[in-house]
Amino acid sequence: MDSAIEVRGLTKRYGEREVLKGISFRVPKGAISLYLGPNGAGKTTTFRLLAGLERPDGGEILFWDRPWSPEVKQTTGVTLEEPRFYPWLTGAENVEIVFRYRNVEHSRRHALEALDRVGLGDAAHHRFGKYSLGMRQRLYMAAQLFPGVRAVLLDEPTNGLDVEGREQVWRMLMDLAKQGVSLFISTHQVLEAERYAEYLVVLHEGRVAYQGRYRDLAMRRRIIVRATRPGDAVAMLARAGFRAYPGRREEEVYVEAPAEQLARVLEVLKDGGLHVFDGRLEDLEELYWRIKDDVQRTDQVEA
Amino acid sequence: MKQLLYVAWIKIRTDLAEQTRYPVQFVFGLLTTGAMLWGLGIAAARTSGQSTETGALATFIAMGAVSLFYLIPRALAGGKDHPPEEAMLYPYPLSRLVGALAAVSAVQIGAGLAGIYLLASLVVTRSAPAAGYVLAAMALALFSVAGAGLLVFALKLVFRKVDSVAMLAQLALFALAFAPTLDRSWVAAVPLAGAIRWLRQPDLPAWPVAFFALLWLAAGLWAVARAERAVVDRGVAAYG
Repeated sequence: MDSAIEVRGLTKRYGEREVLKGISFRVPKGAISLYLGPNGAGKTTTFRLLAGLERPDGGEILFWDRPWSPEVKQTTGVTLEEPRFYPWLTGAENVEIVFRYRNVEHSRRHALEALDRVGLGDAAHHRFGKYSLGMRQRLYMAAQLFPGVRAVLLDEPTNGLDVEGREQVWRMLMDLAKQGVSLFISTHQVLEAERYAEYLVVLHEGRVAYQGRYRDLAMRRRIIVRATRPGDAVAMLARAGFRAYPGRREEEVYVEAPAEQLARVLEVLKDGGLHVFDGRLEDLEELYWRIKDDVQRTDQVEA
Repeated sequence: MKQLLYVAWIKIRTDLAEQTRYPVQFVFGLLTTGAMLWGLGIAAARTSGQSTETGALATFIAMGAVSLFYLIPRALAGGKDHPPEEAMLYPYPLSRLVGALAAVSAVQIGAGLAGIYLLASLVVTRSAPAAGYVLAAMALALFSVAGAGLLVFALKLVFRKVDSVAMLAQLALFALAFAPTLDRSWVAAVPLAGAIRWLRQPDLPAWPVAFFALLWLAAGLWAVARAERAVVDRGVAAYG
């Protein structure tokens, strides 16, 4: 895998609190990579280290095999938590100023192109102060789409957006990835990772709990059924050659089997005379909690 | 460097454009400041040929220098529009950007004041008495005060709530420029006061004042670079 960003053994400590505990991961080129973790997991700290706003206590960060430098900054866009622009200037004027700061020639033309790319072409000449939250986020992204950009780091770009705003932002990000821009996006919303991630880095309490293709992670999902007499359901499935065990909730049974076996599992239970009232694949949030539990167990064993 | 000066020019021009959002205040501010500067300029032009009566000229120069001192710590818009952390993402060090902002502001203020002074001199005396001497004093004042302004910027980057300290320092600068201690030798090291002391006593050699002006500037630039490193080490820019 060709990496746009490579992080090796990154550590960061604030006083007594160790926020990042030697994390390592890779962000592939030209793909949407999501950095998933709950609030306080260390996502923003990682972003600030990647963006050179803070110095790590240990470890190494490489962009295209090179450390963070003015040359890397020239090809990398970064959005922090909140868009900040001149409210009395138009969207186009604001982006033009940012491009001029970056020494972009024909900055006006490129600013208008960037606004078109994020779907703000029609609002290019409206004042930033009049923009909705979603438009502000998209303008923030437009300001990172300067000529020559190769990677964009986005820290929770859909925070505070409604369903429509999130959808617009994600559609735009998918278009960008198709154009070859490497995107590394932090989020705490599992649904976003499930829908849009090509590559996923899962952070839990300062450790990388998973990194790899979303597809590979999705393959690890279990089948979950809810049926009457779950004890009988486990026995029936075991007789049919499935690895099944009681779930956490009442009437719930977990089956270690890939997605294509779902119909077969339901058939076994129906043939056994059980009433099945739910049969589905484990969602990413449930899988996330399972991975988190594994990490915690490993930590306890190590301790 | 050319790119940085260009960026600074855009930044200052954009910040100025903000003032036009409130046209009444903008015009009122222009008229009052213009009238005051013009009055001071006339007074400065009338007295600057007489070495014993440089009070008006010193006030005129102090006005410009203290304005520059006020502007530099606010060079990055009080942390709202382009806070230091956003500027740190651009492909050049923050210290150079702030240095360029200070230089462009100093040139603008210096050119404005020099223009008013020369114009006032021509109107009042039909000549520009001791223009070179006065402009040199103005340049020295701006240099040393730019250094002090950069020091305050550095402090603001690392510590919160430096604004009140900066305000006091601004008053102190004004007071020191006219303090009775002007006859003491250490005054040459005080930003602004040294330049004004030199202006009021033409027999003083220029080099100590120029030396201290450059020293302040170097200290200011070093402090901003050091503050940027400290902020990256510590993780939080205290600005804004």
